[in-house]
Amino acid sequence: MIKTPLTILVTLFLMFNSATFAAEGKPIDISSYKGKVVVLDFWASWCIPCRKSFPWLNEMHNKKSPQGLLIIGVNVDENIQDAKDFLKENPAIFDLIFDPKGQHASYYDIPGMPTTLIFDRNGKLSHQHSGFKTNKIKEYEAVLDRVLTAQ
Amino acid sequence: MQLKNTNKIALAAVSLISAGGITTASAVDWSHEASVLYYGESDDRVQDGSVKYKGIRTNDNGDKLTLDFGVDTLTGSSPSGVAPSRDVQVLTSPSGDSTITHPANKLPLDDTFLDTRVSVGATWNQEILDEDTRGSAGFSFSKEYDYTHFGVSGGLSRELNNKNTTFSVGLSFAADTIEPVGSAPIPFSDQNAAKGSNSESKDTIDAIIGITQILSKNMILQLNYGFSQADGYLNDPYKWVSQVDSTGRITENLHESRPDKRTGQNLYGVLKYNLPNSNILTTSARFHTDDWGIDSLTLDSSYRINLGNRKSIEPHVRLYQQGAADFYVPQLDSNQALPQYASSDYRLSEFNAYTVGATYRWGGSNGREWRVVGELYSQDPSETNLTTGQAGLDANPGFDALILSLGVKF
Repeated sequence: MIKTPLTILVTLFLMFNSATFAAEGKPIDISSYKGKVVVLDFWASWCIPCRKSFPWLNEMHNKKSPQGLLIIGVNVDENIQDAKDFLKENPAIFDLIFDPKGQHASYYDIPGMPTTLIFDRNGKLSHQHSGFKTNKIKEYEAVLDRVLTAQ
Repeated sequence: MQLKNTNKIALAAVSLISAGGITTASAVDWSHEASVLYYGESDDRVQDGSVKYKGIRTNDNGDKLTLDFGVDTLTGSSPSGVAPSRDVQVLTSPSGDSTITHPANKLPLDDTFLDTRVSVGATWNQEILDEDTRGSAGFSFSKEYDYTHFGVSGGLSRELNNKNTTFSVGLSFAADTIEPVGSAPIPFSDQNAAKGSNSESKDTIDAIIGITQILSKNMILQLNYGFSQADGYLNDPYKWVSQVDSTGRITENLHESRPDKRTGQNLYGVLKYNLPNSNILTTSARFHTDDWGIDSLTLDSSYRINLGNRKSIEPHVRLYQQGAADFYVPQLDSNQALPQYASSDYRLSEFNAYTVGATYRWGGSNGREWRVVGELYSQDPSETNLTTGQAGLDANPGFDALILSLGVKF
């Protein structure tokens, strides 16, 4: 009998402590990637730090894919040609999806570019950060390693 | 983009107005800008050629070092303040070594100027306290034959509202030394009088406070308020004021006299609007007022048209209107007592000025961006009504100027 209100309380507690997503917009379906650590990296052609983050994301893709890392770059340019021009100068070897109407960016309430969302092997959001600084690369890599080796 | 808030566009709008060079993956980035400029006034007046360079070095932390360097060469002639006359006038040159002969019926111009100025500056900008607060400090120095400038500056900026708003404040001090050719003349003395000191000083303090605000996905606004105070030697040592009698004959030419302090304020606003097809409309207005009695208004607008393929053309128009300084006079009446201050420098007079031009930009190899600028400037002073003997002569006729510039960012 005590269990039911407790369950309700725990459920409520978990709800308010996990990320609350916006009612509008659409999430990206990562259910088929269960078992992998999924990194959603939101970027745009006008994002200057993204020119630094791409080479690092490429490096992480090469280094950590064998451990189950999957990087998906989510582009939010309204005009896909702008994204393509960016990719000519800054190629990406990781997967890319295009979100020109911002439905995914809206769903995840992305505050600015670049924003990285890291989902654990169960598909739960584990870590989020915005911006990219080359002097924080060790920190970013340590976060990936923590999520990759987590139980 | 159908985001429910305007957070995302903060970085977009900042890139709209930033210098933004293509960066590589190296730890330290350099972006450079170099340009040459020609400025030439009508009627053999002032001509200026200049070369400028600016380099910005950004390191891993986002710290920025900005270096700038410039060389300006000035030739041609400039109105000396002497009133036009039906007679030929002969004045001693500033050095005292020679004379300048001004023909009759023409605006007297001083053509003894030939000067080169070298200027350098550096500014350091970095995060302080936290990610959203940045501080900067800089210095500037310039030298030409009779003028030396030293300046230091500092500023703070803070981002708020998820980078949608930026507050900034800045302060700068300048200590300038003027060593006029032939020494500084005593104000209101004539050309035969003994000169004063061979070195004068002028100190300036400038303060600015501003806010940059993203208004929407496509619009950004900046508003600045500025205060400026200059103390010390504010005269132009080479400019004259003529005393003219009732028949229109010049009885004496006196060195000009200006106050030794000038305090001013200005308000500036600029709006950038991003239109479809990456066309950009920029409109600004600036209002200035000071205790010399000069009020001015500048309205400026340019429209950058994206032609595709890294090319664009940006037509530009500027309107400027200025009131005269309280002590500006085209000339003095020799029958009247001298006022406290007087100057016939055309730059202190009442005039309208118009600029029309365009900038054409194109992309070169290796991500370089080239630009060529052509502008026409026209200064249109208010009518000066001279006395009977000088009827038909204009003490301040105005002039036109051509500006051409070629620049590259790499």
